[in-house]
Amino acid sequence: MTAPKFGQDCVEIWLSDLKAGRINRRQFLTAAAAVGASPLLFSAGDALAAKPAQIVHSNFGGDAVTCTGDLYGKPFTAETGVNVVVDGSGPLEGTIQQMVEAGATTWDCCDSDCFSAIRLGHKGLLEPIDYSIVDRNKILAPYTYDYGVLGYWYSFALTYDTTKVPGVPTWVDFFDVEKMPGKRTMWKWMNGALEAALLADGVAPQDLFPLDVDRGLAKIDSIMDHIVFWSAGAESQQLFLDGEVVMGNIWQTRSSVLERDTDGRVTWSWDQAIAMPAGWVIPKNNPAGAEWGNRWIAFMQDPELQVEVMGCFGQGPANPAAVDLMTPEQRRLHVAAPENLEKQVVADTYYWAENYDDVLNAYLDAISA
Amino acid sequence: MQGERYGWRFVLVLIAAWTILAYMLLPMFAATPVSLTPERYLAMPKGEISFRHYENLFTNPKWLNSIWQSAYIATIATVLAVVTGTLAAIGLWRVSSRYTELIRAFILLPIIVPAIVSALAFFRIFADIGILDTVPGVVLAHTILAAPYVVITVSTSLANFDLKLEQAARNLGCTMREALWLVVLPNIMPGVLAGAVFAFILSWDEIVVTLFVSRLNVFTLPRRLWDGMRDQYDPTIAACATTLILLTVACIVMHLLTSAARQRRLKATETT
Amino acid sequence: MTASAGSVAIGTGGTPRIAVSPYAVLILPLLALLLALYAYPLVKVLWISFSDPELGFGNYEKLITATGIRRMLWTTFKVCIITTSFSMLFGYIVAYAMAHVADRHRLWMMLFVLVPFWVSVLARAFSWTTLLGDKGIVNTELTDWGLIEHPIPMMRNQLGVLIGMVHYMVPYAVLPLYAAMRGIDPRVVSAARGLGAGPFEAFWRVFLPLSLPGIIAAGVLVFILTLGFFVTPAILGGGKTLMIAEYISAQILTTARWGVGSMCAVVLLALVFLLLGIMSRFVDLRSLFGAK
Repeated sequence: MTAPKFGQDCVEIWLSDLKAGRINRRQFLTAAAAVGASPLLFSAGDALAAKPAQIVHSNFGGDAVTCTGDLYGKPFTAETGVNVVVDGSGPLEGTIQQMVEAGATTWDCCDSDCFSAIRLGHKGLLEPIDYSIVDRNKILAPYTYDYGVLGYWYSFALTYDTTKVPGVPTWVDFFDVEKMPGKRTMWKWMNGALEAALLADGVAPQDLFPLDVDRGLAKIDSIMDHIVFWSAGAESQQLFLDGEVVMGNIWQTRSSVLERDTDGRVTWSWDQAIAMPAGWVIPKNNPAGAEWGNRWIAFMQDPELQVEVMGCFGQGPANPAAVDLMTPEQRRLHVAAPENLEKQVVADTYYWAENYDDVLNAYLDAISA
Repeated sequence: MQGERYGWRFVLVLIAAWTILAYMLLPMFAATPVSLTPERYLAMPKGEISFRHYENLFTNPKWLNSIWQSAYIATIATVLAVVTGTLAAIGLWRVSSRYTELIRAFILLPIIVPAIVSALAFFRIFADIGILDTVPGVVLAHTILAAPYVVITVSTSLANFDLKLEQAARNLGCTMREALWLVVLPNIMPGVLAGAVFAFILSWDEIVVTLFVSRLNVFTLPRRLWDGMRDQYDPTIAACATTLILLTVACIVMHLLTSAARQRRLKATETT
Repeated sequence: MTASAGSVAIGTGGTPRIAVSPYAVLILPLLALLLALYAYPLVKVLWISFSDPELGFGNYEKLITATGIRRMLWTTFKVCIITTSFSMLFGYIVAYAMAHVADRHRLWMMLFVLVPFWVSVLARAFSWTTLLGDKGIVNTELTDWGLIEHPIPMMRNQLGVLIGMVHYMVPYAVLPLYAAMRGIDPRVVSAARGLGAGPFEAFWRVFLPLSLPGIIAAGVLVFILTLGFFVTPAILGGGKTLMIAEYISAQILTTARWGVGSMCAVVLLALVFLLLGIMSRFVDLRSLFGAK
């Protein structure tokens, strides 16, 4: 048995003593130092917070499952020995609330819009972020919250079919069916739609929030016959592939896939795209414990990993340092590259935190008339 | 049509009926050409056809896992639904009073209550007792949804079964269990089997409740289809839909042929 | 029924004797399962409509005050009425034909009815998506034949939902209607013809009224089933047809408003029971559910 292994073995024995209350924490650390196990302190520290068997990360499915699992999960497992399982069934607010209230939390970390993080945090459904573990400096200001952090960006960009739309359209053109005939598509679940409508109606980007909901809905209603609504990402892609729509207000990640798949026939514009800060939250009483939830988030802050994940399915890195690691082509696709972000309008997370459910219901009512 | 002769009015009715029947059956085969596309996305095959999406359906671990999971969930749920449903139907039939009629109505509740409402109920109780997203949870939900159908089919069989036979068996010294096993059960077997078929297919196809009570660990075939339609329009969905439809056609053709043959035999014995 | 051979008497002396058959035990497993895992949470969910976010009828006031909810209910109602009407019309024609053709011919018709009846709802919805899109099979063919210039929007709107739902419901209409028509003695119609009624009159005055109980039973059954539709509107409706089931799901999962969601569930259930009540005045529900 080699010395380090021996040391580790001792530490593990003492560790079990510690857990069983036979020795206290200080005795443990002294003893560990005595066998030269100080390099192991980090991993012993892991064990102190009761090393979990696995971290369950919840997101909205599709490529996000394999990309998150392979690119964040595998290195995390290699470093800590903790497995990462990715659940793509969708951490909707209601699901998180239900599982926390039932005392049956099965997720350790969830993808979440930042406004959702604020909402859920207010309801007491989340563990607070521990900024001694998660590094504020790796997050673009001001998107650090008590109960969640910016983890990635996405954007609702005006995507268009270059064979059917001359030049680069704006939201004004999007809502002008006489100037540019053809079907448009918008998200059935609202985000991005009202902002675009109000911008088209002449509201200045800096005056956008708080939203004039009625005015936005009226604008949408004015071209209702020309809108089809997409409900899931795949649908928005298929609509363009089939040539069923000429323009769309869709996730820019899908726009870039479309650009690739159609050899540039479909592309998008960053101008006045609605950038959405999104990120990660830890549901209350998560099985792996709050500390491990925070560690997992901290691990995902690595800029290199974030760039790799972006390459995998387009999720835009939150860490500003990531931009410097990108190729020019990657920068072009990245929501939060400064030159792209300055063209866009960032959704007001506090506004949405306050008004999401009422406005969503008003929107659903209006479009399903 | 083999000597069938109808008046012109009825011929019009027949034309209308067959037009409707065409609308019923033909659209279901629309997925078939798409499933044969060599492309990675949904498209009509242009000249070349390929079975790669069928290969994917039966070799990709995700799809295979879903097929397997659906199959064993449906099997266990069917067994549970058939056992509890058959027992309940016999109990209701044998006891038969004003109260049992109320109980019968209560037992049929899961058929009447819309799936979305049932889903909410399961969602809450399963979270409370900690069986959300587990195979036992989904099995129990499917059992509860399927058992009423078994009660109905078995009750229908029991209605044609003479109560006196069972009483005679009891009078001849059979215990209740023997009477049920040796006399009642063999006589109501068609109802039990029909109930089993209903239960299996219900569980195999169930999506609304399953969406609410499963997440990560349980990923049945309908959920895989649902997910596929929302996330990545992968032609494997088309291959899966086509396979399901063809399976159904095969089963029904077999069923119709055997029942037609049985009827013909019956008629033959009546005439001779 | 009279005391059966196996009944046991409970209670002695002065107390009334209640006969409990040992067979009652057979009902217990299913009953217990249903009570614990179904009825109990169902009642709890329904109760939430009165208790969340605060005790009272606040959620029910929304039925009157919230135009969106009223409109959603109206959409649901409208879609259900149209679906039921078409399903019944189609179902009646098919059932009528089936009741009057030769055995072998009927077998074929039965095949065409049963296959869609049993095929997975998702597989069907998927097939419709490949048919009905602007670049779907139907529009492509129509354009190729020069019948239309621009594709007809048939999907991601109400028309798509109706096409899909009627397709789903026709078998549910055919089967009870066919059963009812088989019960009509053909000699009655012949007698009417013999007494001088024309074929149409014989149908209108004799056959149709005789099939009326079947029509009502099938109609209510179809209507009840359409009320709770979730999959087809979600896939073919494209957001423009929001029906009650999808609305409930959105309230619970997306905005976490259990109060409103469960209020809608109560409304849905109340409608279903109301319809069953109406139906029970015309047909014996027990015969429909196998009690007789």
